[in-house]
Amino acid sequence: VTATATAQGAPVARPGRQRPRLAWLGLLPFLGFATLFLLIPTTYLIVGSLQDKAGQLTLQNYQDLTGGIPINAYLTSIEISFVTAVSAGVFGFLLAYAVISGGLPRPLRSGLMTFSGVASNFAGIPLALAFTFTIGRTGLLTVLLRDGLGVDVYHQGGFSLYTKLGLEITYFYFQLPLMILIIAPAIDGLKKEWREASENMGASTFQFWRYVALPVLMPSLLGSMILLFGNAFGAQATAYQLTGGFINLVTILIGNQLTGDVLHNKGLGYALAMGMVAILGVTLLAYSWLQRRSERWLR
Amino acid sequence: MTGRPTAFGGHPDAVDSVANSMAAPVAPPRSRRSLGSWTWWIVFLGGVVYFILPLIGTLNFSLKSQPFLSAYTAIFDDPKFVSSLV
Repeated sequence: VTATATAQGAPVARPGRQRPRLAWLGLLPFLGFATLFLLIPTTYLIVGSLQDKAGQLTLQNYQDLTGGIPINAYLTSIEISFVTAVSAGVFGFLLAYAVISGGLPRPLRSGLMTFSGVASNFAGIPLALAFTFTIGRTGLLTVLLRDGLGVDVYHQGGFSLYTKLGLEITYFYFQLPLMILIIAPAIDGLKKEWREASENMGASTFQFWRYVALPVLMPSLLGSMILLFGNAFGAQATAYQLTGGFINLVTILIGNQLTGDVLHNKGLGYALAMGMVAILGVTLLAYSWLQRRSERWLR
Repeated sequence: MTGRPTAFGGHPDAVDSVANSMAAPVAPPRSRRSLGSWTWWIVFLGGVVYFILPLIGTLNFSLKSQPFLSAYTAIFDDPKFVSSLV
C-alpha cells in the first residue's frame, strides 16, 4: 500500500532546462589539478625512464626491470602490501562492525572513527620509532614480556621487528584505521530489514551472512582491500627508518637509484616508478569497478 | 494486570494481555545477544590495545631521560625546533 501511494504521489519530473554553455568551466579546477599533479609528473617519469645517463633515448631502463633485484623488490613490496591489506581488511571490518552493529555503546563509534582519522595518517618515521620503542629489542612490551612472563620473543620466539613480519605489523597500524574509515559506510548500508526478513524466513545467522550480507559487502570489502594494497605499496619512510633499507622494497630501490652515492641510475629509478604507476593503476581500476558494483546496495 | 479501572468495565486483564501481545516485540534470546556483545567487546579491546601500545611505548621512552621531562624541555633549547615547525 505504501509503495503504491508513494508511486502515485511521486512528483512529475520537471521539463529539462537548457544547460548554460559555460558549465564546463566548473571542470577547470579539476583539470588544472589533474594536469599539475598527475599529467606533468607522469610525463616527467615517462620521459626520464626513456633516457640513459647521457640523456639519449633508450629502452634499457625497462629491460633492466627484469633483473633479479627489481623483480625481487616488486615481489617483496607486493607480498607485504598483500599481507597487510588482507589482514587489516579482515580485522578492520570486524572492528568497524563491532562499533557500528555489534551493540557496543555509541560513543565508542565516534571515538574510534576520530582516532582512525588521525591514525591512518600516522606513518613514516614517527610510526617506525613508536614500534621500535614498543616491540624493538629493548621496547616496552618486549621488556615487559621478558621480565614479567619470562618470554623473550627475540631469542626464544625468533621474532624481530626489523624483518618482513615486523614491517607488516608496523604497516598494520596505518592500514587498520584506513580500513575502518572506508568500510564504515558499507556496514551502515547493511539494512536492518534484510536481517529481519531473513530471520522471518527461518535463516540462521550463518545463512544470513553467507547468502545476504557477505555478497552485498564483498565488493566494498575487496575494493577497500585493494585501496589498502595501494596504500602499503607506496609507503617508503616507515620501511626505510625501520630496516635501514635492508628489506628490498620498490620504493626504497627507487630512492637508491635517485639519490644513491655509488650505483645510482635515475633512468632506472623512473622506470621502477613507472612500474609502480602501472601496478597502482590496475589496483585503482579494480577498486573503481568494485565500488560501482557496491554503490547500488548503499542507496 | 494493572489493577486500575479501565474503560472496558472490569475486564482489564483481557484487554491488557491482548494489547501487550500485539505491541510487545519478541525479545531476542538473551544468551545469544550477550555472547555476541562479548565477541565484539573482545574485538574492540584487541584493536584498542594494538592502537594504544605504541603510543604508551613512545611516551615511556620519552620519559626515561634524566632529569625528568628533560626530553621535552630539550626541544625548546634546540634552535632548529621553531624553524622546522614553522
